[in-house]
Amino acid sequence: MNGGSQSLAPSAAIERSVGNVSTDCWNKSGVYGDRTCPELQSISHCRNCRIYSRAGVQLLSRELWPDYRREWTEHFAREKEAAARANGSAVIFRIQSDWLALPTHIFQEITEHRPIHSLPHCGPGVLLGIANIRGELLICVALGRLLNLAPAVPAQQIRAEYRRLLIVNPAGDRLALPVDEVHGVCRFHLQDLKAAPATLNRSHRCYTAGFLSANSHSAAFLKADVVFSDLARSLHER
Amino acid sequence: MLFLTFKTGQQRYAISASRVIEVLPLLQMTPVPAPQGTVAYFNYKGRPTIAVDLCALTCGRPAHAHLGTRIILVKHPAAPAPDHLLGLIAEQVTDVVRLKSTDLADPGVHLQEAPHLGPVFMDEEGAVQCIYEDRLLLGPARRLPPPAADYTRRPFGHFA
Repeated sequence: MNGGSQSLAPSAAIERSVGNVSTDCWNKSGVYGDRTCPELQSISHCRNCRIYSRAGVQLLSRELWPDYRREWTEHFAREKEAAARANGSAVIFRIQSDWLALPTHIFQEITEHRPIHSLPHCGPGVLLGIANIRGELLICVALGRLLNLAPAVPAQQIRAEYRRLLIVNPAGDRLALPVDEVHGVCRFHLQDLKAAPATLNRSHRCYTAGFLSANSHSAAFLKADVVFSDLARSLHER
Repeated sequence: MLFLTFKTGQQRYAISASRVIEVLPLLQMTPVPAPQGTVAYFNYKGRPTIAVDLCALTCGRPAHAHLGTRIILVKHPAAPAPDHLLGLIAEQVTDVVRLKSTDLADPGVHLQEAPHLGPVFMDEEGAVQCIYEDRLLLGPARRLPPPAADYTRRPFGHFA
């Protein structure tokens, strides 16, 4: 026992921690044991306990292994590769089986999927209806219908728990776009965008600025201004 | 305020995290003929960078070659160029603590030979002394050779 004082021992556990930890109390009375340690009342998990973290620090008091210094020296001797700074940022999402990307700055919020209330006399166009986003009624538009994305998978096979509503504000009008999955934000270099393949159909090509690869998918980076001006036009035509 | 804590021997110290550029593992060192083997060079991204063993400087023995012994990289206090770095080798460089300015207390003693010692704070295990790494050269490291004015840019005529 190191440093433990028996005369003042409000908490034996804390006293024991003053010296080197030679116990594995977390396996006996802690969360990996029978959970009888009184300290758990206040700290709720052994990882918040000083005995546990001290035992972890003791692992760092080990001797270095033979190649340790050489490996790290080689690592730090290399010149730092100055990566060119990414100058583009996009949110990548999926509609049907197509991965698409829109510039991050037009996004305001991504929420869970909500019920979309259809509007009377609203045909199978891009206008889906309205959705209640925290008290505000927003117009929901189907980006897939504008882009003529074919429903490759039957709707019931799409995993509903991945569905999200993207709230975008491209030009002063907030819109909600239901999508089937959101991958996240991806930073990239604008010059790294790959050109759209020539086999892409014309309507798709006029909306696509290029392709970026993320998450082992190739996502079509859409021209936000063209997409949303066409969306606005098709909404006003109604 | 965030502080990086470390040990030299039994003594516990802290350095303001805002002064720390990077914490490196213990690397291979090329010793320099300096008092008590306190100084060595290591290769940091292709540049020779000087490292001072704080244990050798204050305890008279080199730092243990343990996993927790690391190099705290700071700006060289006497450097003319801002990219001129200094490594401080210390033991148990394993923790950071967040402190309020009210946690720091003046120790009440100011040693002329240790002007680098700053305020003290207490934790469960005792007192931890903050150090001013930019005053090391006035105190324990004063016998270190001062850095050349611009050693990276000097033409090294007779080596060319």
